[in-house]
Amino acid sequence: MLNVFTCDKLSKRYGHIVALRDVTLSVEPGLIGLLGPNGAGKSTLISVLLGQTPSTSGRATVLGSDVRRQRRMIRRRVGFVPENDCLIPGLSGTGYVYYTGRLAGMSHGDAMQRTHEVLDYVGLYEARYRPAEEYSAGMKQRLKLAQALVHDPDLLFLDEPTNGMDPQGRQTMLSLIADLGRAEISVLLSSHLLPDVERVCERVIIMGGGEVLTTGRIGEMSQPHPTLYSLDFSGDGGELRRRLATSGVSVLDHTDSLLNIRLPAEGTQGLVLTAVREAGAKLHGLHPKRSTLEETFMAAIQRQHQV
Amino acid sequence: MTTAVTSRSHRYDRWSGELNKGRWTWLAIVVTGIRLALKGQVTRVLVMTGGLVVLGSCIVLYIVSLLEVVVGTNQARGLYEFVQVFLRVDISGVAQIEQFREPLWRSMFLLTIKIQMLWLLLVVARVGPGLIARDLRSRALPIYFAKPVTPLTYLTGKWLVVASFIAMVMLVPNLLTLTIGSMITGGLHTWGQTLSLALELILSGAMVCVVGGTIILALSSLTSDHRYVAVAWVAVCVLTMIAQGIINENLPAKATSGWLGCISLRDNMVILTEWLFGIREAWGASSLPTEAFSSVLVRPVRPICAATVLGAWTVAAILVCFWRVIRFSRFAANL
Repeated sequence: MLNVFTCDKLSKRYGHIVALRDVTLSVEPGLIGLLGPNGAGKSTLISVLLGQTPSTSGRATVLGSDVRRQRRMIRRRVGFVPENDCLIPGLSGTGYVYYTGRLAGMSHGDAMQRTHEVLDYVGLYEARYRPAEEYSAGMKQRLKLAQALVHDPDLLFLDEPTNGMDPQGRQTMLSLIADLGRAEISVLLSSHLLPDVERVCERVIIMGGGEVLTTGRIGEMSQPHPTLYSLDFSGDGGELRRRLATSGVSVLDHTDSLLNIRLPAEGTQGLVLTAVREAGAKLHGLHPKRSTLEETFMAAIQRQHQV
Repeated sequence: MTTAVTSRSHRYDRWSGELNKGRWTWLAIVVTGIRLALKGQVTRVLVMTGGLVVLGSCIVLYIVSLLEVVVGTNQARGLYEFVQVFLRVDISGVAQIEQFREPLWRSMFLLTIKIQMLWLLLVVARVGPGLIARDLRSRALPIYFAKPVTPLTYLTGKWLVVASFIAMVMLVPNLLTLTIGSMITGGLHTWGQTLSLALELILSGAMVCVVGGTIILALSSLTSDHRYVAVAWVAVCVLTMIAQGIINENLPAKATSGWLGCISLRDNMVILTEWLFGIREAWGASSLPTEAFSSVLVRPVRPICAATVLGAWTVAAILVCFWRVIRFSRFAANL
């Protein structure tokens, strides 16, 4: 499978400031999240991959093309949704998307037909002739997505695409992104909103201080927690909680048939089994809690600070 | 403000078309730029009234051609006065007007261009300032430089927007006037005589497009507020004209025939247009006394000096444009 982009010891310096430090990545097609705090180097990485900012050292390819030598080729095959408003004053939604289609190299007829298709896709068909300045924040974000899609790219760079959107608009945008993944368009979603990344992305790249801190599949990144468990049972919940407390097991929260517990130490699951037996309850399952993406992210950032 | 409700039941459809190599990307920038500029009513009025200047030129050409026919009659007397008042050339008593057709027409076009340049000051001040400044203000540059658009394509497209308006106000009306003049004067001989003038008008128009277009683009790339650009443009044009006027008033003609006579942008363009048209040589070679045509000539300044000053302005403007736009294109994702 061809990688959507690769970086080999990619570095970028602005004077004394290191924006990217020896970034080495090899990313397969799919929906990829790019996480990192402000100043982590996310936007610089996108800029280098778009061939806008020349790297100080190292090499990068996008869809098999070298970012230094084949910039135009790359830009014909990628779409970019910037973080900020980037509308051209005076143009309607249709005019704006049509214009960007022409800039991408589409013929007049193709650009016009495709403009209507993508505006319909992002849900702006009814508002397509209104001046883009009058659009709401959510509509502007979807218009930016439409301009990135007009020439049907194979790879999309999305920089904070849900910024400033209300919950409903955010859900719409995320469902659009998920749908693009089904249409075999690879997406690099740069966001500081971890739930957004967790919801739509298959894999994640976590950056900090210009370095790649960790990469991997979101499912594989969530490690089983050594002492946090969920206990699925039937029987007298009150008695079971008392027995667990006596054994030194903390109950964090509970429902009628589920307890979230913390063991006193790793490998002390036997205390739970004993407490269940003594309480006369029936055990249906004892599952270790898995760390969330947020916990993985925070752990990666903390490790970097310690280094 | 209402938010469109999105209920999507359909999926994303891939597109199977082909993208072209991007050779015509600049044209998209030009067409959109012109369309956006013409949305302003003031711009439309300025362009239309600018084009109307040539109505006067058509009338003058008609009078000259009429004079060729009625020369020697009583009717000619009034027409001689008309030519003297409007073209500032005394050809009374000249029997064969057609011998003076070329210098007369050239003088008429020089006068028209002088007026048009003042009009262009306003048109360019209206159209040019926002070309790059508005893209900076609205942070639209990432859209250009995430597509296969190079800084050169971007600048060419933007420059051609200004150039189109300059052509609309100056070049096209002048060529139209020349065609009408040739038609009403009649004869293949007239077409042959005016063919070189057409080329000179095109060269003169191209010079104004290059100099004016690059300077306004350079100013537009320096700030995101187009109002400052408009003020700076008017200041560059008007202040240099005022400075030139003061120098001309206070220094002898010999002193202002070199670099000191090349401060005003507009005057330099007029000097070069006169040189292109060869008006001084054409009248000088005629049998008329110098005082009969001296009013129509511009201040004697060495064309090389004027060309050098305009060239320096243009080169500096191009460098500023590229420096700014390449810089923006590199930081487009972070803008």
